Amino acid sequence: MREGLMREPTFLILTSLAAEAQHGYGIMTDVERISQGRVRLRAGTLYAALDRLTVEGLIEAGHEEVVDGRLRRYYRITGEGKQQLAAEVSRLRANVAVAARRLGLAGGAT
Amino acid sequence: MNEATTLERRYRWLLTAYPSHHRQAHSEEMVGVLLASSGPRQRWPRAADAADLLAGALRIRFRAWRGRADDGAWRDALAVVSVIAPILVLAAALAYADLYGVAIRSATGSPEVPFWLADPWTWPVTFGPAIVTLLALLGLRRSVAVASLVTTATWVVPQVYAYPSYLYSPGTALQAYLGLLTAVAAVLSPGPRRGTEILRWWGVTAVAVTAAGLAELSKGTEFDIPLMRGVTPLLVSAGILMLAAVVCLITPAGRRVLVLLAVPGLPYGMALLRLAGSGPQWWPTAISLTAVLGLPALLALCVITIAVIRVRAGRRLKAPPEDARPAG
Repeated sequence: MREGLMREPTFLILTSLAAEAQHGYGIMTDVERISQGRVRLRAGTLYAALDRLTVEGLIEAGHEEVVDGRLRRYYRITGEGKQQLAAEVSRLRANVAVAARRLGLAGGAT
Repeated sequence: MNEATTLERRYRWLLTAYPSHHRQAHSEEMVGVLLASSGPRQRWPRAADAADLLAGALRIRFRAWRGRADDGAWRDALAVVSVIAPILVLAAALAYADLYGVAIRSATGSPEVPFWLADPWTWPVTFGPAIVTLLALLGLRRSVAVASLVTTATWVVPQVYAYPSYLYSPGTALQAYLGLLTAVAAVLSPGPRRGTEILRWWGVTAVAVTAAGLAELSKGTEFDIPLMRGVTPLLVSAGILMLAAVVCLITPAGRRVLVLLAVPGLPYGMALLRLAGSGPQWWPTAISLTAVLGLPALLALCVITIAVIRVRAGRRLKAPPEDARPAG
C-alpha cells in the first residue's frame, strides 16, 4: 500500500483490531465508538473490507466460537497490518502537527 | 414463523448475491452480524442494509474477477492478434487491389497494368498493410503499432473527404478496425515476436493461407460481401470461419483472440445478415453509421478495457510486494 492512501474505514478497522482480536459485530460497534458515531459500517461494507484486508495480508482470521447458535469468527491484525497502521499514524500525526502549528493551536509547536 | 426467522431467511436470500466461495466462508457470521444489528421486531432488511449488501457483493465479485490469477492469456491473445490482424488486413488489401486477378491474368497471357498504379491515393491501402505485416513478422512491436496507425489513417481519412459512403462499407470498417486493433494489440502485449512464438511459423502460414482464401472468396464489386457473388463462396467462407473459430476455442488465449477479432468482424457479420434477409440493399445512413461504426467501437472499447485490466492485474501480481498492494 502506498503511503497516504489508506481510507478511513480501513484505518478504523485496523485500529479496532490493534488492541485485540474481534468478531465482525465487535468491529462494527468498535469502529462506531472510535469514530464517535461518525462512521457506521454496515455488514456489506464491513465484510468487503475484511475480505480485502485479508487478501492484502493486513489481517487474518483467527478462532471461531458459537454464541447463541451463531458463528463468530475473530479477526486479528498481522505484523504487516501493524506496520501499515503505524505508518498511517505517523503520516496523520505529521499532518496534524503542521496544521496545528499553522493554526497556532496548543500541541502543534513541534 | 417468527420475525427473526423471517428476517434471517430474507437476509440469506440477499446473501445469494455473493460468490459461492465467499458465502461458504462468511455467510453464517454475516447473518449473525446482520441479525445482531437488527431491531427487535424487524421482519424486513432495511433498504440501506440491503443496498449495502448488494454493493458489497458487487465489490467482491469485481475484485475476484480482477485479481484472479492472470495466466497471461490476454497478453498472449493480444500478441497473437498483433500478428494475425496485419495478415488479415494485407489479405483484404490484396483482394481490394485485385493482385490475384492481375497475377492470374498476366500468367494466362493477358497482361495488364494494375489500376492502383495510376491512383496514388490507393497506395497506402495497397502497400501499407504489406509493410505492417513485414514489420510484424520481424517482431518489431513499436514499428508495427506506428505503421498500422499511419496506414489506417491514410486509408480512412482521405475517404472521409472523397467517398464518405465507403466508411459505411463493412469492408472498410473491417480494415479500419483491424488496423486499430493491430496498433492496440502491439502496444499492450509483448508484441508480434511473442505472437509468432505462440503461433509458430506453420501457424502463421496457415493464417496467411486462410486469410488469402477468405479475401479472394469475399472479393466483390460492391461492399466486398461474398453473398453478392453467390451462395457457394458464402458457405465456403462461413465454413472456413467456423473451423478457425473451433481451433481458437481450444486454448484460453485462442478464445480471447476470437473475442478480439469478433469486434472488427462484427460489421461484416451484420452486413451479411442484413443482405441475407433482404437482398443486396444497403442500410439507411443512420443505421449504417450506428451499426458499422458505433457498435463495434463500443464493443472494442469494452474488450480493450477488459484486456487492459487483466494485463495490469497480471503485472501487479508479478510485481514486488510493495508495489503489489492496491490502495487501502
